[in-house]
Amino acid sequence: MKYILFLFLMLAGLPACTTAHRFRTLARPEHPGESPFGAVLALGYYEDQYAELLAVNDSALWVLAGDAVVQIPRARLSSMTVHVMRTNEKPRSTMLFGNLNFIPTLAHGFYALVTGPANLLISRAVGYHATHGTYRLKYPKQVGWTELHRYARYPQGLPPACSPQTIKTPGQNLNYTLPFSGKK
Amino acid sequence: MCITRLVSALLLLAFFACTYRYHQPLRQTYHEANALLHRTGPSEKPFLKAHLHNGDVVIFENEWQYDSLQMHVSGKGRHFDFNRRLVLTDSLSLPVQDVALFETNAPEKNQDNAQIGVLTVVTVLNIIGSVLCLTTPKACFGSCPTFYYGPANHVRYADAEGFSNAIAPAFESLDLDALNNPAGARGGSDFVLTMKNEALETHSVNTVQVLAVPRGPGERVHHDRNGQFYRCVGTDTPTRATAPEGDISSLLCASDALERCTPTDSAHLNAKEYVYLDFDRRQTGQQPALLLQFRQTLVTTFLLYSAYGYMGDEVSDYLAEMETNERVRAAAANPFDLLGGIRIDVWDAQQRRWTDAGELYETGPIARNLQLVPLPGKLAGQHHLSLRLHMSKGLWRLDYAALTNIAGRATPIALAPDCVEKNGAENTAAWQALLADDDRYEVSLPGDTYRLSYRLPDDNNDHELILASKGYYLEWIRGDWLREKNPGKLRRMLLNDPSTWQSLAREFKTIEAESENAFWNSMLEPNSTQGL
Repeated sequence: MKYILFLFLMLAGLPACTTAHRFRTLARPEHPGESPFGAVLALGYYEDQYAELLAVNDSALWVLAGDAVVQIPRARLSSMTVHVMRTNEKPRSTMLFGNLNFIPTLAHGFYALVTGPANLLISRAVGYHATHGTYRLKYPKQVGWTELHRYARYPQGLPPACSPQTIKTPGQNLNYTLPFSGKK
Repeated sequence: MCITRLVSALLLLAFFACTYRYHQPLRQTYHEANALLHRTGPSEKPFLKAHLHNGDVVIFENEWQYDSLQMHVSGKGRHFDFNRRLVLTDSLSLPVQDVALFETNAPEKNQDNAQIGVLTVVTVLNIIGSVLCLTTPKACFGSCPTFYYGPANHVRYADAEGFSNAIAPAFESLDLDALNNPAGARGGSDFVLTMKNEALETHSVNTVQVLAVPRGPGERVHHDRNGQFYRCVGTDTPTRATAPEGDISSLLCASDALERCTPTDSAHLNAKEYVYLDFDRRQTGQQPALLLQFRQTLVTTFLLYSAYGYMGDEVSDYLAEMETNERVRAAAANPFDLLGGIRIDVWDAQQRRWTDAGELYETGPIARNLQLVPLPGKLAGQHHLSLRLHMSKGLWRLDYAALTNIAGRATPIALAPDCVEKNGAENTAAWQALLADDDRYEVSLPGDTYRLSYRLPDDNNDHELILASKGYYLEWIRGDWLREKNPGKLRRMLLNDPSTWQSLAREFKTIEAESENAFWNSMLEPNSTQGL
């Protein structure tokens, strides 16, 4: 029983260490205006490259990928996903609830061999969606090029005074912390 | 099954409930302040963001105002520079000419509640499961080695269970179980048996042999409680079968897993009941015998685990005492004697009274046993026979009853396994341990699966196959049981104290309805506990 408890605690504790880092700058659903940052784009053939949308004009868009500002010509973009805002206000509470959910299974006796893993799977899945869930749009099916600017950090276009060298990654090389960190 | 489906559905829901499409109209941009105010006021356009020409952004809280004379937007807000460094949090007044673009946002649906809802359902199910398990801890158990020879490998369809009453080394015994195999076990062919440990127990298996008896067309070979084998021909199912609840002949007419069973008596677990069977024999002249297919309910399992519970943390002391003290060993058998087996009485028409014809007994709630009771030879010529089964109420499940005719005695050929595989790999040590009734034991742990191959006698006959297993098993003591330590009650139970047995009857009554489901759902899958 000791080992089962240990295993459960290990598995339950794992997701608590993971945060949806790539979506940390997105606003929460009931506070949609709180974030000064742009939407997060999922780019590439497998849409596994993430970057913040900075600005859009008629022929290209600019993204902040890692610590580099990259210009992507419109012609090279066949599809992508635009992550606009997060789906959960209190993902940590949901995750905590999910993690505590396995406690009653300790009293399930033999059943725990089935209900334990099932609980872990469900709570992990729900916890993952709570921390990683986003409201999103598919380009070009759900959002067209002319509407993309709405989701940019600079919807008015790249400011003339800003150069790619001066734009910094959120939280990097800057003397401030993000206005929200996903811990709310 | 129901719980499994529900869990699967919840899993699917949890995985796929996360495709959230954003509603575009919830975010709007305006190049002109007038356009911003044209249709609606601030209360309908909350979360105002003013994007400045220099790349800065000012985020106003909901109470923002637009002064069309001064051309200012004012309100409490936060000012970020183009790198989104927080510059100022205060009451701000912003000249409209500095603003390149206004942006408004409306809230989206918060998914917290939906996800909490899913988790709440799971929590409720968990708590229900916990309550059931905590109130019926003895329902989380298993029982002795299970054997399979057909395609089925679920414990519900086990073809036999070995030495169920051998709960300690001192009780080690040979157990015979009819495999009830259909025609086709031809001489020279191989016969494969699967043995599993599907419970939280340690099995010490001395030997597993298959007894083969040649049988002719239409002939079957059955054994009685004393291990005698009989060649039998023909069967007659009851023309009438009655029990306290009424006609049960439809339940007993075939070996089909449709069983007759009643609840236990709420005051006395050993309260008796009668089942009456009437037969009209199609063929007379040979000694008749009663064939009965049966198994136990969970009463004996409940009693066994109650006893373990009362032993508490002294289980090993008690088991050691059983090994060395004949008196203690005899006392341990008292409850089973009190409950008794299935006594068979036959109606003596001449003396007009019931006479004792024998008794059937086999411990275990899993596999159905097919055994025979020879009836008095003087009934050989009698066409109509009336029998009476006398047994503890709620202790037995009856599946099939029939009369057959004994054609003679039979002598089986004992077959040792040719080859033994343990958990998928050939295992010579296990094979050597299981070969014969000697001092070598194969120890199997929960989840272990064995494949035993036998070569049938090299003749052209079909064979009746009977499993002969010998060994003992040690139950794993669950933590829940330790809390019930009560040596006094154990002593009274073993001494068949009436008031203690009444209390046990009441306890069993509270879990009787749930115990069957709990039992079948508690069985382990092969190797499911490896690595624990």
